[in-house]
Amino acid sequence: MVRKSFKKKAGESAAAAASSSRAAAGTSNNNDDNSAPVDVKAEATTAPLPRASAAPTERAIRLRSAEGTVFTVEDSTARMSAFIRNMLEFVGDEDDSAVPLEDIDAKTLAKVIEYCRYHAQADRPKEEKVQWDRDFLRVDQSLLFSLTLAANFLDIPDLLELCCRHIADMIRGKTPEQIRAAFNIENDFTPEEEEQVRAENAWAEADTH
Amino acid sequence: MRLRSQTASERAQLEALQEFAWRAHHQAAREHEQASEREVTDEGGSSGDGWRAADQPNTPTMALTRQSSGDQVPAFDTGIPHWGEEPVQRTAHGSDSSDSEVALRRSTEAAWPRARAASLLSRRGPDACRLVDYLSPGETATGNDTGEDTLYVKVVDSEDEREWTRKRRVARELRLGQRHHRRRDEIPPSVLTEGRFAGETTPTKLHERPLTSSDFTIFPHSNTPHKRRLAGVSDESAESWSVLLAGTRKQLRPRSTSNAARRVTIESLPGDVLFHVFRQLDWMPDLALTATRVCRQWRASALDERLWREMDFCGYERVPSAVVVELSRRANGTLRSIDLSKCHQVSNEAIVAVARENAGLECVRLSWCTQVDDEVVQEVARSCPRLREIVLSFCGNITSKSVEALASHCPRLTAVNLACVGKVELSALTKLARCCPNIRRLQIVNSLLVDDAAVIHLAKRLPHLTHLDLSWCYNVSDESLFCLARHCKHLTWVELGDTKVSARGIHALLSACPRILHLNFARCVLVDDAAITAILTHAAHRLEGLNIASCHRISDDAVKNLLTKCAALKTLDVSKLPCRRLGDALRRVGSRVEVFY
Repeated sequence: MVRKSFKKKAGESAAAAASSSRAAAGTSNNNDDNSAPVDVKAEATTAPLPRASAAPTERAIRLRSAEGTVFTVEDSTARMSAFIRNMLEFVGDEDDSAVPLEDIDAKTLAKVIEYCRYHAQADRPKEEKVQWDRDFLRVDQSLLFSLTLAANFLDIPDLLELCCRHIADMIRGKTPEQIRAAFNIENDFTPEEEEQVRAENAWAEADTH
Repeated sequence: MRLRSQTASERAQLEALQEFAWRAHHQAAREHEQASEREVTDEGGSSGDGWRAADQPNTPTMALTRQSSGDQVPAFDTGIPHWGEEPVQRTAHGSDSSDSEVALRRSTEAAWPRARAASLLSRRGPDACRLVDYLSPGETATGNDTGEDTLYVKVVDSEDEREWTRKRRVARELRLGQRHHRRRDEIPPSVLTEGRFAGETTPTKLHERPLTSSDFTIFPHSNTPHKRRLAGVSDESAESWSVLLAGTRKQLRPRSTSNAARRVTIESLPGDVLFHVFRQLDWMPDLALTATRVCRQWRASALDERLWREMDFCGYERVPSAVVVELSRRANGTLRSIDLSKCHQVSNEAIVAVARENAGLECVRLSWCTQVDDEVVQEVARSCPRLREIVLSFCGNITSKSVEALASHCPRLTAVNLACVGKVELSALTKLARCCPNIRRLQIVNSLLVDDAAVIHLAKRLPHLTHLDLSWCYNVSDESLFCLARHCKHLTWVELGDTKVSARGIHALLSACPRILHLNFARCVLVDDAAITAILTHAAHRLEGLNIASCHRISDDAVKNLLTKCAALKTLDVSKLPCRRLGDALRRVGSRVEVFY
């Protein structure tokens, strides 16, 4: 048994639908053992959600993060991601449901969208883009890595390369110990392996000293 | 009308709810203090924190439970007693203004506590109560299946508390924006598209606008909530519920899969992402010497054979043979390029072993490897038919045999560097030119055997030459340049230091080869001002580099002309010229041209 109760909206087509809704509510009322009168606001409406009133002119793609936060982005922005591009082609235009991105949290997704929205516009000078990218990556390590993961998952090659280059810059010039400290990595080599690895690189250490 | 269609059990539950609300009311002040403290810590944490009622024992939450007894369920939005002081009167038209705009929908019978809570929330405003979490039958925090719907609702009743809750919620919803933007109006539309208020096209300063219930909706979440809601389809498959607060849908996820504060570390990067990172590193020393030693995961990713295809030992002159061979094996036979410049300790056997194991080698650089002899080059040429580039500069033991072997086995060669090698006969060079017509870069430095006849022969056979270095080939004269001008139209880089060329040859070369960017006539005693005139006539707009060091016949005026008229010039070497009066011209060009004098 399905009941309908819609919130009252200034819908012109409400009247016709309201009668059917009332009828449905009436039948359901008969099934209730309680005979108290039922007050049903049955104003059916086909008006979309309030949110939709602010819909952009371009086709909007909705992306749902791991927490369930839904982001509405422009078509061109979303299509920076090969993953979403393929998915949209596969699904077609009719389906307006949000694309579930279970592996990406809202914070990361917002950042990814920020990147895609900027780079979806092609007519920017290169220097400005480079500077923007540099500012864009001024984030903590956790967000940087989740951005990298998201770029990998969403298949955004430019963003992936940007992140990887940034991580590589963080690695460059450090010793293994410094890297472990910087990224909080545990040294999980056994003593034997450690010794083997050390012997492997002994020539280079002799070279530097 | 206050009460309609309630079963006895529902009434009992509502009474419990009411009682709970009263208790919450009295706790509000105390809780406000505690919550304010939490607020501080929350701001630093993840956005998921605020929803964990059970994790915060002091938060007043109530559990609406319903025994799965199959009661007949009333319409969910019928009058529920208001637990405050004054009951709200409702009519068929929904005259209660706060309720009239709240879209609530119940589609499954089992969902009634949610709908009930929604109604309660709508009556008191979204900030009076807050849906904290929902557990559907079968998912409980403790893992025991009680067969009950459990709904956690946070109740806030004081005015301060309301204000605080509203701010906090808005803050949470806008946290994404706040992180990266100082002012609210800088929040990216990605956040505000969803965060706009109902019916408004421009973003509002959320913290200044009082919330109304029209900003608030609860509906079952499914894959296509719009369609289901509009079509009135029973939503049996809805797994979770969504709360639309101020236009933002906040999906309440089951506890089990809740995305709690998750700190992503570099260890969570999978191997293929690490590969992308390592690809950006310099092979030596960051990848080969460092990344392989950090931890097991890194070592596994760093030993990917794709990262070991180009090995550059330049600068590691003391690398032993065994290491070269062992490291080259990490490419698993796919090594493409190896640079052993100045690695004197690498034995000939090691080089041969590497070449034999990697038949796909395309680039071998053995500059200054004085131990290398003809046998090594012959073996490399035999093993690596795809060789494109070979550098044998300053390998004094190399003779014609090497060049002939390269010619007969490596037809794809495009770059050959024979600078300052041993004695290479003309016949070997002609064979090289005949067998490897694709050679683009050729360096035959310091060879008395190379004369005009040899250059003419090479020029005729190598039409694609772009870089040619014949420095210290004392027997090369203008005849060579005439022939190069006729046959090698693609030349961009010509070095003719210490040759017998003169202005005639230079004029012919420049007039015929439109792409020349770099010229070197250092120590060519025959070059005079006429050569500069030829340069200014034919290449003034494009010449980037010029070396006329020790060309004593070139006057100061010619050099000044060069500096002022060659717009693209970047480097100019006029060292050991008699000219010492370039002050004005130098000042005028400023830092555009690097001048050596």
